[in-house]
Amino acid sequence: MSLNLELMKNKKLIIGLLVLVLLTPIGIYVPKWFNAEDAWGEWPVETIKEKMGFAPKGMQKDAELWHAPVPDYSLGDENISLTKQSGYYILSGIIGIAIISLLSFGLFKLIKKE
Amino acid sequence: MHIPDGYLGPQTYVPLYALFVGIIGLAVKKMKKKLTVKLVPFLGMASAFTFLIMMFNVPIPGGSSGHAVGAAIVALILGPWSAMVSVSVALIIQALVFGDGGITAIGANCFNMAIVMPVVAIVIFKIVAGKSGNIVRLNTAAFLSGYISLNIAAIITAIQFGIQPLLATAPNGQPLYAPYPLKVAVPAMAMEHLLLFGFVEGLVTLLLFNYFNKTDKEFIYVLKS
Repeated sequence: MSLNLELMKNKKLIIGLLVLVLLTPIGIYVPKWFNAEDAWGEWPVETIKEKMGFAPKGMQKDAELWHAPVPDYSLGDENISLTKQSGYYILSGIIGIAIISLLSFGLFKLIKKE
Repeated sequence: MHIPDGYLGPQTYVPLYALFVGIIGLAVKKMKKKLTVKLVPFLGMASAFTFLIMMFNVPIPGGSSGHAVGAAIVALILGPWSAMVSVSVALIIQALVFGDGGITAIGANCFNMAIVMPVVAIVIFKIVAGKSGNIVRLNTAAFLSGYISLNIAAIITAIQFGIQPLLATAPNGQPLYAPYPLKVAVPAMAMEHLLLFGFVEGLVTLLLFNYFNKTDKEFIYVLKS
């Protein structure tokens, strides 16, 4: 049985996921409307410095360890418009799903061989 | 709940990496035994679902924001091993590609959200649902499994933050990593999850459980005996 056939049977679930992708900007707009900030314990080092009056040394050293290709689900800086942010957010959703699909397809090929 | 780089010292993140690798290795082995061509698309969809649901930030007005993880419903439907693997995949992609969660904290984040959550979700569901087929009881079990599992994961995350000042300090006494002590980190994380984010996870779990209970009942892991 091919993967396509399997996926056809789950059309509703796939449509559901695609709808979720298009709705992701809600996750940007709603916190803005309610003046909410980052999640607790996920602040950048500068924010910790403001809150505590100092930047922990180890944190400062490790914080820049990794430069993600699409940092914070965006390709623009923090000052871009909400519309642009939403566009990047949807794009991030698509990238995420694309990588997961590739991995699933790889796994599918692998176990079909066995 | 995605711990960034620099918040945990090596005394914490190294053992959690080891623990995560050990458990996920076992999960892959267990999952492989039951893995069929038919199951693969569901694993992918489950992973994609958790990836997406974590993008829906929910605000505490004027406070911080948070989100559901989706790990509870994935566990109820696919079982613990498959859930561990598919949620881990989403979390690892978030860290590597989107910088959501640190690379040093992948072990910790996967342990909290991809290992602890699925296990707690299933245990709570079984305790609350018992052998009853009563729909109200099943729905209550689904809601509570989401609500409680997210809260447990949040509290464990807060403990990991809170022990940092105890584990590593600079010669001047300042903490080297996450600076908040347990008595600040645990209540802060617990409150927001108990009051808001837990309800979101519970609701997501309840709604999807209800949907699958109506459409694909035989497919739900926790309903098989």
